[in-house]
Amino acid sequence: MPKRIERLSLTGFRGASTAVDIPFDASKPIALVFGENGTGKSSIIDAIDFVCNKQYGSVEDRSGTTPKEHIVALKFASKDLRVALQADGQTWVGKLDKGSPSVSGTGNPPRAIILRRSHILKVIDDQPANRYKVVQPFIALPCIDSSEKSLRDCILLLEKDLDRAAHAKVQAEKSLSDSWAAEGSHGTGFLVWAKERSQGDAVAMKASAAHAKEFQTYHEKAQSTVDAMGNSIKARIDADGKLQKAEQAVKDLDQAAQESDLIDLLTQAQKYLPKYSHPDECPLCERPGITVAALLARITARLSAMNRTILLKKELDSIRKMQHSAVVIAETDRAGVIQSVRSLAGALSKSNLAEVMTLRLDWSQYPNMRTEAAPPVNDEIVREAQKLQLAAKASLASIRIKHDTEVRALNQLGMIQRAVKEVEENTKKALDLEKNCKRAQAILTIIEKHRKEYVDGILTGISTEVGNLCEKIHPGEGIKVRFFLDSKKRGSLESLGEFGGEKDILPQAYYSESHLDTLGVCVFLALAKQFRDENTVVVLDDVVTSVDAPHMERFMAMLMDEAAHFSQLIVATHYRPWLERFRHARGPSANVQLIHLAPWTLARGIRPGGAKLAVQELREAAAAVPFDRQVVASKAGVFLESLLDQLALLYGCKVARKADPSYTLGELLDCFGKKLRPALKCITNVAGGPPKEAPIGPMLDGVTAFTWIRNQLGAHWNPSGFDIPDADVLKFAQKTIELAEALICAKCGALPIKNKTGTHWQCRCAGEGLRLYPLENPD
Amino acid sequence: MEQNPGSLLAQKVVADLRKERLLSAKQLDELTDKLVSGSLKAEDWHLIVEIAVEAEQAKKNAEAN
Repeated sequence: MPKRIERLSLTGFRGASTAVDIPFDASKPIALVFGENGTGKSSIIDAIDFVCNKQYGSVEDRSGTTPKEHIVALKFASKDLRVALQADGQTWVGKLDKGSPSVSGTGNPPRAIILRRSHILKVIDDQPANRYKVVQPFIALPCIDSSEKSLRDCILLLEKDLDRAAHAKVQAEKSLSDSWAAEGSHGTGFLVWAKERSQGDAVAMKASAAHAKEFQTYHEKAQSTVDAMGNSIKARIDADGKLQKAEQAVKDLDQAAQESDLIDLLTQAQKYLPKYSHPDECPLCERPGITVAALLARITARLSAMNRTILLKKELDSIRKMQHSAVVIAETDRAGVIQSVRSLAGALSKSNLAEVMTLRLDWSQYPNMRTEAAPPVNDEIVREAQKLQLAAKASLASIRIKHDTEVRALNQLGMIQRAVKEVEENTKKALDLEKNCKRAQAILTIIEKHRKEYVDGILTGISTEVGNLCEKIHPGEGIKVRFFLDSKKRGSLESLGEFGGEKDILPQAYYSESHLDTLGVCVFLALAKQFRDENTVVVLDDVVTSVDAPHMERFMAMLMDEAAHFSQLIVATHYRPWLERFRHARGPSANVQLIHLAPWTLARGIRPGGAKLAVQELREAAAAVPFDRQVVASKAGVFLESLLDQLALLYGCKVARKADPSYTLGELLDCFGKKLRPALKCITNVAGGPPKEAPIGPMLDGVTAFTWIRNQLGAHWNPSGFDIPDADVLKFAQKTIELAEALICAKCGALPIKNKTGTHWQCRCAGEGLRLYPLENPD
Repeated sequence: MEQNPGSLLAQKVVADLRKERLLSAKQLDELTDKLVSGSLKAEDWHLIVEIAVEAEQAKKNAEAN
């Protein structure tokens, strides 16, 4: 038994504003969910998608929606959303977990392939890339696609590395070329020049630059000490001058000069007296009467009178200190000059720098500058040092130039060595990367070739199957479409069709809307067939809206045929003729479960119910106690009309021409001619016995006797109908049921309207089933 | 190995790569499984290609010597 959906329970999911159970009849391969617009069909289909594919369904196709929010029914919280799907005795429960569909249950739920109207439009009438996206779930091989994609990524990375290496090489070459040009472009080329230059002795160049720098430092040190000495001598001369002036100012105050010692004495006494232990006697003569306080008062008065003298004396002391400091600094600086020039002399005497050699120093003039022991600091030695510093100074500028030249040469050598290395390394790197790129590209070409061959193989098969399916819906119209991948683009599905004898036309340009609609469904069915397994459930959500009645008949017949290839076919539609067709046995109603959705309300939510077959309704109406005479007469009449209409259509019976093709029961009963009426018979095989034959003519005769009851009771207010006995009403129903049971196959539930053999009409059963004779109208 | 469209395609790819000698025998032996698992990342391919090219170069060098 294939895995079929047995029950679907929705709580808080989309239109399920109240919890709802939708039972499916797992014994039937087809379920027809009929409902007018807004009754909950898409909610049911989305619920299947939610559990079987963990998808949000049609909500995702609607602009402006947030599926994880809008999939929750009004007045429900997302945590309360629950969809339970039962199949083959097992149950899977779908919920929202952190905003994503989450399904619990053992094993995998049935594989549901769902087609919505939006998919049909995309697969035929959208851009090739979007068309590919629709068929991608069928034709893609995720593992190979993933490997191919990662190889493409690898090639991109290799190409980027190759670009970088080439760019670095070009940059390095340019800097070498510029340097070569700056030096006059000598030799055969910049690379040869650069390689020769890169062999330069960096160690020797560094040592030479360091030597020059050392000299520069000795020179600068000597110069700075000479400068400092000059400043300190000037400062000392200033200090001497100031001291002289201060001393003269003190001498000019004779009194002050005489009182100088007295001021010192009084100042000492002023500090001493407060500590004297006998304040009431004179500290000098020790006689009473002269107090210490009186003495202190007198001393303070005297010192106050000698204030200017005190100030001058303080200033003189300060200037003396300053002058002494200047003397010390000048002496230190003079020693510094001797020391720094002696250091310079040591370096000069040992140097073999050309700039030093050209000085041609006469060392005999500087006898104290190269002695081992430091000479004393005196004017003569200082002058000798200054003289040597001045003589050596002539080389400072050229030594600076030498140092700077050496540093530049060293920097250029470093640049050339780095650039030559960059050129060599990146040349090798680029060669290696180019090889890798070519190899990766060759591998990709092979993978791509096989992947395209695989997809093209599928598409070719699909194209053939699509043609076959289209032929069932549009017989003789020669509709053929072939699908193929654009070899220049990845993920681009192209299609070309045939129409009116023309080949390779754009289907969307020439086919009608209904052709494109049915073509889209055929593509989808062909794909579903190609990739089905034993548990594949195909679900069609209101897919066809633009098809006229004859094409719809054939489309429905095609779907019934194709249902045999899948575990279960669930068709949701708002097209009422589909429902009525099955109710009146114009399709294999025994294989179809009819689910009729009542109008939706917020308070009651989705309301599924079973739709009964017309014959079953009539049986139940007739069996009711008490039975409703009007209902029985009416139902028997309508059902009898539908049976006779189908028979008349099958044999092309003649009826009176009318603007509106609605015929009375009498007209339909009379249209079966004298030869056809007795020839009509149904035959079924009986296990272990002879075939059972049911002549239709006598049944037509039998029911004809009661058809007036429909008009009398079932169609109008007619008091004369009150006299019709119940038994006659029931006989009318019984005769109609007998005719229906003879004409409708008990196994598949369909009228025998298929010409499979060229000898009779047959029901939809495989094998012989119910046969209706004759094939053609003998009249 | 389970036979499915992916594994069949991987086998065809490996057969062609072997014919064209684009990868070493050892690499090819391991490649079918890797292709089918879909686990190959760009850096894996980089390594595969690098090893194959280096091995080929080494072989050429050995022959030249």
